[in-house]
Parts: sequence; C-alpha cells; structure tokens
Amino acid sequence: MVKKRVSTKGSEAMENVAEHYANELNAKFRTLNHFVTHAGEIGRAHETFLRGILTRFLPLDLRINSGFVASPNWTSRQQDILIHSSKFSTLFEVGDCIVIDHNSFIGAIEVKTKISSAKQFIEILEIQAQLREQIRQPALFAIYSWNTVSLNRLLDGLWQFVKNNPKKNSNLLPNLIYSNGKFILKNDKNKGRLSSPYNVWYINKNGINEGQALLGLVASVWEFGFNSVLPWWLLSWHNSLGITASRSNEIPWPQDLVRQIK
Amino acid sequence: MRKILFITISIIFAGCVKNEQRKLIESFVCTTDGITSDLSFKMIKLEEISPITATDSMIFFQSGYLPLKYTWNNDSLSFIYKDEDGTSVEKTITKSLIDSEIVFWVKQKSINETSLKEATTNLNDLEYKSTNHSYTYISLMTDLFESSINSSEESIRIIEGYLDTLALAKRYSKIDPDTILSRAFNCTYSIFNPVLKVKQTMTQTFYFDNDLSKVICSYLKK
Repeated sequence: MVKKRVSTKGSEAMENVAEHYANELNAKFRTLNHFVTHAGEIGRAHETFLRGILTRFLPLDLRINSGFVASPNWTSRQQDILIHSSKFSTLFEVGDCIVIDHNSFIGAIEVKTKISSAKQFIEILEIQAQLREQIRQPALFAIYSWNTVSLNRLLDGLWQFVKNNPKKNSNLLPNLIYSNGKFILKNDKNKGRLSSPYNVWYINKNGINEGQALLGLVASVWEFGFNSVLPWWLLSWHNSLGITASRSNEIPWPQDLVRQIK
Repeated sequence: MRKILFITISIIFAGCVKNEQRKLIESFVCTTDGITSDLSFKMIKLEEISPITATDSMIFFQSGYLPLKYTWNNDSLSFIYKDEDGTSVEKTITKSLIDSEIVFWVKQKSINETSLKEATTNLNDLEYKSTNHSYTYISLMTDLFESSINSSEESIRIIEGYLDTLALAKRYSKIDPDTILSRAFNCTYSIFNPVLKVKQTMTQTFYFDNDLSKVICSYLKK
C-alpha cells in the first residue's frame, strides 16, 4: 500500500474559496492605493484587510487585533497583527488596539506595504526578533508584504541578519515570509538546525495560486502557533500528505553560514 | 430428475433477468433527452461487479472516491481506493468528521453571507453618492464592491454545492453500513454510430437500483 499525497473534497473546496478571498484582498489593496497616499494610513488599512480575511479561517476562541504584548518584565513594540487566545483576559483595550498578557500570545504578523531593500528587511527582522526572544511558548512569527524585492535580495537580507549574530539570530528567523503575488517562504520545524531553513513556494502559473498561499499562512497558525496537527480543511498544506505542501523548493543555508551557526 | 429441473429453471430465470437488464441498458444507451434511436444495440458481455453499499455511498459523497474495500472499527472507517494514476491509496475517516465538516462550512457560508450583504449595501449606497463624487471615485468603488460581491457569491456557491454532498454523506452514514443500495454491472456492447456511420464497441459500468428495475447512472471505462 502506497502512502501518498492526497486531497479531499473538503480541502479542494477550501482552496477554491480561499482563491476568491485572495482576489478580494487584492482588489481592496488596489482600490485603496488609488485613493490614499499617506503611508501610515495605507499600512493600517492593509493590516485591517488581512486581519479581516484571517478572521474567516481562525477558531472563534482566538482574537486578532493590533497591539502590544506585555509581561511583568517587558512590553513589546506594537504588533501589526496580534493573534491571541480569548481564554485570558486582556490587560487593556481601546478601539482595535489591545495589550495582552504574554501567556495568551499565539502569533504576530508584521505587515508591510513594501519591502524595498535588503537593509529594510533586516530592520523588520530585528524588530520581530526582539519579541521572539521574549516568548517562551510555541508561537507564529510571520512577515506579510504586499510588495517585495526579489527573492534573492530578500535572502541576502536574511543571511546578513544571521551573520550579524549567527548563533543567536539563526534561532530568531521568522516562521513564514509571505510576499503577495510572488512567493511564500516557510520554515520546516521538523528539520534539524543545519538542514535547509526554508522551503519556497512560487505564486505563479507553474507554482501555487494566491488562495493556496493564503491557506499556507493560515496553516502556519496551527503549525507554529498551536503546535498541533492541521485541521482536515488544510490537508493540502500537511507536510507529508498535502499536495500543495509538496510543490516547494528547498532553500539551504549559504556554505559560509553553516560553519558559523554550528 | 429434480436436479436437472432445478438447474433448467435457474438457467431460464437467470436468462430472463439478464434479458431484462439488457433491455434497460439498451434503452439507457439509445435514449438521449427522451428520444430513443435505433442504434442496432448488441450486448457482448455482462458481468456483475461489487454492489454499492451505504458505506460506499457515504465515502463517495464525503471524499469523492468509490472504495475498493472498507473496514469499520467503531466510528472509524478505513478504506482503499484507486486514484487517477491507478495507485491504491488507504485513507481513514470517522463518521463524526461529516458533522464537523458541516458545522465548519455552515459557519463559512454565514461569514460570506454577511460579506455579501455588506458589499451589496455599500454598492447601493454608492448610487446615492454618485452626484457628490467624481466619476473615477464611483467607478473604482463600484469595482471594489462588485469584486467583494463576486467573491462572496462564488464562495457561497462552492460551499452550498459541497454542503449538498455532505448532506448526502450524512444521510448514508445513518443507514446500516452494509445495506446494498445499488448494483453495478460491467457491460461490453456494440452500437452503430449514426453520425460517424461506424460500428463502435465499448465497455461501460452501469449502476442499477437494488431491485434491478432502473439504470441510475453509467460511467465509460477507460
């Protein structure tokens, strides 16, 4: 008997629905850019669009806001998208902005309208790494960008970030980097420290579509945030069974970095 | 003498049943949109294959596969099916999965209905504002709301279609698992194709209701 990658009617239906959600998300993005020129306003609107779509997929006992994570000893910078459990009471809430206890933290997504250089990307990685260092439980750390430089330039930034402090920063890389319309980079948590840190899925005719990529982001909430198996409707992203999960290429560590992170 | 009589009666009875099925298959093959044509139908071979049980139907509507074999273990159901490239694949599902799928999709449908309502209201409101705004604004916003309406409508259509098949899976999950619902036959036959003006031979699987009184559907074998 062959154990092979499968799909179900349910997971296929979810991919079809997600593709419509992704189209809707892109239409909102395009329309907004025609009207609003102020970068801050655009950024906030983009976070709201993405939050609105993510809410459709996540369990009801989760909440998605923008805000801060606090513990008795530290408080994070403002997170664009904060995924947290509603089982814990919030510390402070005004409008859509929230302060949560670090124990209820499930994930953070840094949303960027544009990543225009490797240098800017390193700054984003450093900001996210500050929170990541403080969180002890399994959690998702992701970066979502509407417009990004090429994959190679992004990787230049990623490797440079690790080179700045190899032993520490190699453990602080984001779990997922989503470049709208281009690619999605995802960490495989089951692999060893020295094996390829990322897999890449290209969003194009020969790769995956935007809906499948959107489901990849949702799947990573289960994978990294809940540290649990994926629900049946995300079967396509299951590491060993999913069809979409198999359409990736590995991104290995650069040779010079392997020696430094050992 | 009695034995010979029994065998003879059995052969005659089997022959009658086969003849009845032949007529039903001929009628099914030769009838399109209620019009029956004379296609010089000739049955070459007819053999019964495994009957379709309630469990087969449940699996078909839940997963989209007709299983070759299945085993129940309390609420858990393991089955083997052949995928598109002919590989045997094993899968396990549970009866309760159907319920959780229905709950999930009903929630997804409701989310999309809310979005649809919101986008439709926004689009209607836009008509009242059209005198106060530029043409560019109105056309961009119209595109945006129409895109949301389209996304919600398409999503609802997909979800409703899938909920219909899940309802069927649920219905069959309530029936005694091994109850035979329909019987299947592989039939090789020839017809005279009136368009191409050639004699064609093909093998097709025909599904009958349980008392063999009606052909429900058929699939051409590859």
